[in-house]
Amino acid sequence: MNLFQEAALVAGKDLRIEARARVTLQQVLPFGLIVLLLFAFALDPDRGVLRRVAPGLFWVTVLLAALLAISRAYSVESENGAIDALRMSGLDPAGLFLGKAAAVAVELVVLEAVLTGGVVLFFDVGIGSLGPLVLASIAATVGVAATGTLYGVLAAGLRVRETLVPVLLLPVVSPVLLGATRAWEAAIDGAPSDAWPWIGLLSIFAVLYVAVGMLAFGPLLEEA
Amino acid sequence: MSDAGYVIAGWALTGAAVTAYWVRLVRRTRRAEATVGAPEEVRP
Amino acid sequence: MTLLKPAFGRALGWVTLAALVVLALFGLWGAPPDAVQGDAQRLMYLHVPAAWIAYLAFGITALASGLWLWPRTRSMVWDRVAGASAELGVLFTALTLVLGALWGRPVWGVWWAWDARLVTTAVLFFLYVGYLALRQVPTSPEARARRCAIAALIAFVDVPIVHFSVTWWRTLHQQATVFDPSLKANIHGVMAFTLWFGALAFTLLYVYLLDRRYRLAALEEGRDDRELDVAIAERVAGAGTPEARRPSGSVEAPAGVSR
Repeated sequence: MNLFQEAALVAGKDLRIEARARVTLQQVLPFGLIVLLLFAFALDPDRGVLRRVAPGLFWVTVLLAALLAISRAYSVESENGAIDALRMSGLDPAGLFLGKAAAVAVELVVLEAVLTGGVVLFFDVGIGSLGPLVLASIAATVGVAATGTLYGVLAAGLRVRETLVPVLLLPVVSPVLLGATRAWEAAIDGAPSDAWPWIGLLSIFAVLYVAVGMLAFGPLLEEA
Repeated sequence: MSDAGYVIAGWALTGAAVTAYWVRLVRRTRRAEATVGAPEEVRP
Repeated sequence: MTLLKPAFGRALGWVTLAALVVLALFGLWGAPPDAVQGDAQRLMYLHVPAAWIAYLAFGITALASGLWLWPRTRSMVWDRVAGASAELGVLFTALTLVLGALWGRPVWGVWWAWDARLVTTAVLFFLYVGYLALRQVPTSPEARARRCAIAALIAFVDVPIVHFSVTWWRTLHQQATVFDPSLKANIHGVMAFTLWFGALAFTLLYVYLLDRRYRLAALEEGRDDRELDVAIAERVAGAGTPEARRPSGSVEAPAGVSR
């Protein structure tokens, strides 16, 4: 089996577990929507304010929801020693990493699609250029999923995993938040050319951390 | 607060922080040296 | 057990102290007040050197982490250096931020400005804090070393991206602020000397503290090992007689156990 087949296998497994347990659908998704709602409570629901800050709020919400998704990705492994099974399965750790990260990314994309609807409806946001918006979102999501999966395995065996991963992950993905928000602002304001540099940054981040993840996942899995 | 106030506060804070950290290091080192010494003698 | 020879370390301590005193003399008195900023500028002689050390310490942590990960150079020495340097890094990063605020308030009227350098330093602070949190997790030294080394490199690789993206972001949003922490271009003479001397003094301080922190780490690891040996010996000795068996609470927890 080549790398991508292994990754597809692992991703398929994680997504099948998710399809049956429906945690992302029933818990993480509502969490995201509730956070958006809370932002509206916290800020002046005067439409002007929310519309202006919508991209930032959207991506902060996605990041917070990603913490939950990543936590979930590893809690399914800690039951019944599944992580030992993964380690001894003979699968290439890089493939394992790609698979787990891909599953997280898919879940996040679904979440983002719904949240985008929420933002359009409730924050009165008009999507100017869809192309840059989608590209930026994909690049950002890959970056967050890769980095999150990496920190997830780093903390996998630890009891403090759930409080440790956020404090490790969030500073590192701050450029993603920055870039994604700026790209969205450009796309919404109808100045898509401004978005492309940020999409470039997001892509570099994504490629870099996918590479780092493929290298580091194996050694970290040994310690888990 | 006058300019001098900020300056004094900054320099004093820096001095205090570095000194406090150094004192903490010295104390912990002494404690560690004390416990390292005894078992060394006890072991055959 | 130490990075520097003990005698040299002690001497370095005295030299560092002298250098810091000299820095204070120049910074607080010898150097003239700035034409524009007045006396408030004297904080720069601490803020800039502190920032320099904050980034140096981070680089050393990353370098040491890499050396630990590389099989041919692997040694607990590098793990201890990485951890010690990170602790110093947190200290100096925090100082940089606080001094920046104390400097900014009288000169620009604000405690904080979303300047690229300050924001990057703030992110750096949180990267350090996360690393130290990871270091505190109780686990075997080998496992901890591996996790922390990888975490340090993940963070290190991120810093240029953070710096670049934040700089870009702030240039696009060029405010009316003339906030420019790097006033090296505008200063000369005694002020320039004081600044460079400050960088030197802080570097000496860093090396001195790194050596001390390293020594402490080596001692504490040694103590943990010895406590473990003693505990094992006691258990082995008492194993034959049930009355002699001690409750497991008699063994003092290793230094690393704290969350």
